[in-house]
Amino acid sequence: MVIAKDIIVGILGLYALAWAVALAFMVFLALVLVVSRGRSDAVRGAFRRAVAAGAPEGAVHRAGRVGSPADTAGAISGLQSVDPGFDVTAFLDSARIAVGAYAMAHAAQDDRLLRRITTSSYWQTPNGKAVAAAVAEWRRYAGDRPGVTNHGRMVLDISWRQPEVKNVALGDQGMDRITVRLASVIAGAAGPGWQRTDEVTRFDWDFVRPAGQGTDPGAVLLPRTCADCGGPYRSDLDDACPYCHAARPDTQAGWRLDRMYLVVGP
Amino acid sequence: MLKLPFMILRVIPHVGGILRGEAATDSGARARSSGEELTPADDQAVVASALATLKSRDGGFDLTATTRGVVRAREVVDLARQAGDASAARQVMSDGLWRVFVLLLAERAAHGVRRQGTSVVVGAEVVAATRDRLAEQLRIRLACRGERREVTGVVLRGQYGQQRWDEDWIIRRSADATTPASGGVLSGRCPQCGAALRIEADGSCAYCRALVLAGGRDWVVWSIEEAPW
Repeated sequence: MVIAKDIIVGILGLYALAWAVALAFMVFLALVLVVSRGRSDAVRGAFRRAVAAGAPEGAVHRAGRVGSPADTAGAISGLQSVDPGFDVTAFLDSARIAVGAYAMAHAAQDDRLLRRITTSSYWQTPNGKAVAAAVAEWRRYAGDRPGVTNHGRMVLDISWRQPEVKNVALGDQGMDRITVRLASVIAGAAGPGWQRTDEVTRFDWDFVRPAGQGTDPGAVLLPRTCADCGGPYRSDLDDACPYCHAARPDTQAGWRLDRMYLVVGP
Repeated sequence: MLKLPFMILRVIPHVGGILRGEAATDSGARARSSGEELTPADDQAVVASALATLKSRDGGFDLTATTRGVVRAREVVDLARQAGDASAARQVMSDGLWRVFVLLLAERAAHGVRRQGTSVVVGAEVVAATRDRLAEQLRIRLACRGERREVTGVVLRGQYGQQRWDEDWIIRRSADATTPASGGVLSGRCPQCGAALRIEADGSCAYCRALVLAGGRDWVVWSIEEAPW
């Protein structure tokens, strides 16, 4: 009888401890919100620096001046000398598709396009894992039906600000790598009541391809036509060719999104 | 309720990601003020000098015709938004911009979001003109007047009644591109063959098969930025 009582008291004690830890965690998160979304830019700056200092390798980049335009132009000229089909305007334009793909995965839990344009290692990065976790949580709720619309969240608009090529590295460990820095602006809304959930986040986006590969001007990031019949896809979300119904492969030639670093700083 | 503390505790392993995301992201009102506001206009003397340089390099460049083309592009995109049919905007947007536009319209359709209201452009001004070794870019600020709102049962953004607002339309082309004799994409002509612009679903001219909406040959609408609404 005494033992049973001790066990019950122990369970209740553990439960109370769980509540205490959970409440402390909630208070901590509330404090984070107050600090990071408060009016004081100085406090917010200190918070950002502390987070950047404590972040694991590969999660964040500190904000800072992007490399000199002359250096970047020189590096791109070097790339064009070995790949005459490469055009930086077309490349940046295609990089925008990655922003749209990320917005759909992050804000609407639809990761079909993001999976199509990323390397497998992307999903092992901190940001890739965060996206995968959010999508998995939604899938669990939605009954594991890929592509099903999340009727509780929507993306109203996706745009970007000030895209810049930050770094070009050719032949690094057998890969060509281009880093693009930009701010993605996602205007969204979430139910109930459709409150606005606008976000502006700066990222460095790393795109890679096997070293020495040439650019196909029609498929910088993602082919627009079916490899089997040549018919055009209607949307980058198409899972199959609308003409011959061949399944759209996820891994294709061209640049791939390999990493995204949150850019932390004022 | 019994499970609530354990549900909260499940979030703790993700606290690092939450903190990093919070540190790198502006949200709510701060997002609107820091990220969605239009980029401040450059000094007019700097803009005028850049336009003069552009004109000296490309004798065929006509700012009035270019601006008229951008205003026409805005009308086309507006109609496409209202109709929920991205194909109408295919021939005025850069390839990447259009492909994201397709995603957005699909997302709107899935949620039953409709764009309502009509508006006109009452003024246009180049507020930034830049050129580097790789590309030329013009930021054209359009002063708009009319109604705009997006609704799905409730008004998601915008409002009823006449308003005025600004939109930045950014056009871009490669640094070595020049204005085609036909007038080019913004005049509704293929910059490669000069035919009336008809774009295939793969982004090529229906006549000469050249990829004309990547910015390598001529101005394309490269980005659309709106002040918060």
